[in-house]
Amino acid sequence: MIKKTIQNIILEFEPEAKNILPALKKISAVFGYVSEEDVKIMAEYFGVSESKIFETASFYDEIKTEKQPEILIQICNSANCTVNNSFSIISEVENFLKIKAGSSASSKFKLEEISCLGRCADGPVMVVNGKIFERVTKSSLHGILGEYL
Amino acid sequence: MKDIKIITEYWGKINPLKIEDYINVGGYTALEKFVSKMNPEKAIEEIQKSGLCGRGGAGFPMGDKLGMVAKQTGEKYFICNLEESEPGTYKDRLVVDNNPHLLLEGIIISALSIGAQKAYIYINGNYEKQKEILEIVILQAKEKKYWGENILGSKFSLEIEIFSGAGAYICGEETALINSIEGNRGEPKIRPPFPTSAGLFGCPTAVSNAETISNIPWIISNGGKKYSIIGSKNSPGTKLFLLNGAVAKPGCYEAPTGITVKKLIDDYAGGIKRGKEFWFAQIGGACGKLLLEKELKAKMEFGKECECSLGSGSILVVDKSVNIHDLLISWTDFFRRESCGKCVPCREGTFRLWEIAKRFRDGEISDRDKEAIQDILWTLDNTTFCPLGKFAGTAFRDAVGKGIVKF
Amino acid sequence: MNIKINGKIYEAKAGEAIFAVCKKNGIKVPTLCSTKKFQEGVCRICVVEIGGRLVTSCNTKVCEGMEIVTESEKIEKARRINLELLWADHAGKCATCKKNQMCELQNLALEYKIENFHFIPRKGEITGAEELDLIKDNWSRVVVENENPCISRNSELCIECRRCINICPEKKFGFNYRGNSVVVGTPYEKVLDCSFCGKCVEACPTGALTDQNNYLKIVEDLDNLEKFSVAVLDLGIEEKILKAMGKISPEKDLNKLLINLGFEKIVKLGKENLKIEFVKNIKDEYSRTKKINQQDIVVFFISSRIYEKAKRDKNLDYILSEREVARLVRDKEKIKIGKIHPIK
Repeated sequence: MIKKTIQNIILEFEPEAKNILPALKKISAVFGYVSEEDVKIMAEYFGVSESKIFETASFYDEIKTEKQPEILIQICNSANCTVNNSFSIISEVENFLKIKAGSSASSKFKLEEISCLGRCADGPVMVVNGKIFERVTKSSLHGILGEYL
Repeated sequence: MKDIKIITEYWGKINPLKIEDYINVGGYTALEKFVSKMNPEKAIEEIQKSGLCGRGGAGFPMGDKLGMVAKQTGEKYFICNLEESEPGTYKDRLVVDNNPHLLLEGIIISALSIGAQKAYIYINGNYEKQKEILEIVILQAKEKKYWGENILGSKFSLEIEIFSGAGAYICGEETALINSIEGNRGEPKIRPPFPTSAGLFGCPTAVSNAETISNIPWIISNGGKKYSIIGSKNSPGTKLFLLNGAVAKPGCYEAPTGITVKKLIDDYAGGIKRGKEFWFAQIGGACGKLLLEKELKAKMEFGKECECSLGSGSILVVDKSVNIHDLLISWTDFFRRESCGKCVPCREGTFRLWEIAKRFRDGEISDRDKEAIQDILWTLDNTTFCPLGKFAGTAFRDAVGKGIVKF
Repeated sequence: MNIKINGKIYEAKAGEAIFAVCKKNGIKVPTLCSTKKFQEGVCRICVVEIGGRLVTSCNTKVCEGMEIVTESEKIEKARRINLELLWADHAGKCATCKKNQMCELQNLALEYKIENFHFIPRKGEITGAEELDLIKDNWSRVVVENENPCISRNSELCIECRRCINICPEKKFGFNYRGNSVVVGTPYEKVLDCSFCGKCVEACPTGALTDQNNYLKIVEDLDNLEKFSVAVLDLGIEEKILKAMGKISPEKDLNKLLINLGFEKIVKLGKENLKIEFVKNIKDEYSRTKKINQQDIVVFFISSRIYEKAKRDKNLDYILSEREVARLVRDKEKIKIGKIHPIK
């Protein structure tokens, strides 16, 4: 497989405004985040300022602008999952991994509270490194995390 | 009339990935009718007659919206709004999962009726599987000449493109959605100008919710008049309702508008889950009102004079075992995170409400906070830039006003 | 067309914003974000009432027969609450702030009597670099940057009004992140690298963007009796200084003000000696005519051209903008009325 570089990723897109978001998404997905250098190249290619590329990138949840921890755990805390006890799952993860939701104090794990993914009938919903787990319980949680530890 | 189904009619009965299955049950006949026997004006007239209004939450009359864009000249766009990040709402996802061709047919007819050269499907970034489904069905439809150059041998041409969102609730708001396609932050734009006159790339644009669009083939086939007698008088038709929480059979149900919440819970969702005691229901997602038991006979409809605006159609049934502190934090955390951050009352106000909700959980709420709650709710209601801010405090306000939480 | 403002009829042109019509007719409507060129409507302070509904006057266009109210209980309430929210987001370190008494937010807070507010300030006092790191990790990102030669940035004082973003000709600033984590700044919080035209500093309503300088050393040199301080005034700067000072000092004679600050000599650049070369010769000339050691002559170039600071011209010891002069005057005034201790 050819190694993906920022250059050959952006060349997949025509330099039009409507491709800025798709290109950023792709860069973030391939490299894990959009770096300072990527923003510079993007700005040049699309003919807009770096600040504009960065403000767009930093707005969206799916585009990361900083290096992500090894294991990113996201738990939905919107109303439906809350009714299905997602808060107890959040505190269970906090206690188990000794981290706080939203804090990036640990370089290995990060726990984030996220908004609804539209899987409310099967809540609470947890996402680990992009993989979605439904109907998470305190006991199933440990099994899931076990695979990543 | 209870059993009439427009959107869910063939769910589970046809293979969603087989265009033949859809054609066999009469699919794409509305499009054929449109290109051979109708013209755009006639189609819009039928849609206006039907009284169909937007299913995304605001309930704007679909026919009027299409009519406004149709009037304009030059380059125009049609956008199918499939962002759907309203908490508790996944009806559009189910539409794609179960009958994507119905949606596609609706998109093609709507886009052609306004004279758009291009249609975008703005899909939620998390709906990866649904994006794949759409890619497949779009290809199938192209092979059958349902879109592309000279549709079914007619003078109509249309391009269709899928645009995938990147995770931001506010992008469900049409001007924010447009900003997002344009490569900007998904912030709402100032109105006027409305998208119908200056939308995507400055061109007249109609943005409609996927569920709304799915009603179009039926209206074209059966006529607007027939549609207008279904359900509530002011906002006719059927609606997809999502019942979740403490109900026996959670899920998505199609029912005529004007139905009461009680009926939806009892007749469709099998009543309250065994062993649970009803407390209140939240109607229409994160920014939805709360209804107590005595208010459940409220009719679900759209419009200024409606008893209960049904919003996105989601109904969350909350039972007495739920920790209200968690729920208050959930609502406020959602808006503090999803506010675009542009205007002061929404950026700062939602943050403060979240802070207060946390203090409330920890038993540290002060008199100062109690006063602040009223001020924040008032400023959200009266001074925000866009509707997200305006409704950000609804649930909190009802929780306080209806005695669900007591400080 | 004719519109009614507070019951009186005024003439307005189609396409004009309510705010512009009010301003033209001397009707005061406060704002913290809109400028002549950009009206984003983000601060929500300029709200007025039309038929009982609150609208932002800066970006609502007039239409025939419109009836506008610019002061009412409801308007007052809206302004007060939103100001309070902003005030709590602001660091609130007025006493030591460079923009104290010259801050648009502070002035409005005083006007609307925001004293005992209901919210707990979001950004606390930060003293050491360690604390700064701590806050950076937290939900309120604070970016302090003093590494570029001309503009000092402190997002702690920023009220996210977007003026700098809009006004910057090089588009260096962006509105980054979302929700309550929003921060106005450069991509990846990089050190500002631009042509330093100073438009952003001029536009900033608070102390978030200010002139970079070594203030204590400036004051020391001005107060030093052994030094001969020369103020070289750029063309048209006098008016700007008086404007920047606002109500700080009742004195309107600039010469008197400058002498009071400790300047020994004031030179004005005119149309005929606009060239910077003229300034460059000042030291030579004074050392020759006044018999003063070259190193004891301190030349202050008073100009809006803050980019001159980046050139580090050895003939110009300091470049002071109108804002910095106003700040010097403010601190002198304080000493005079004995409010705070004199600056060391």
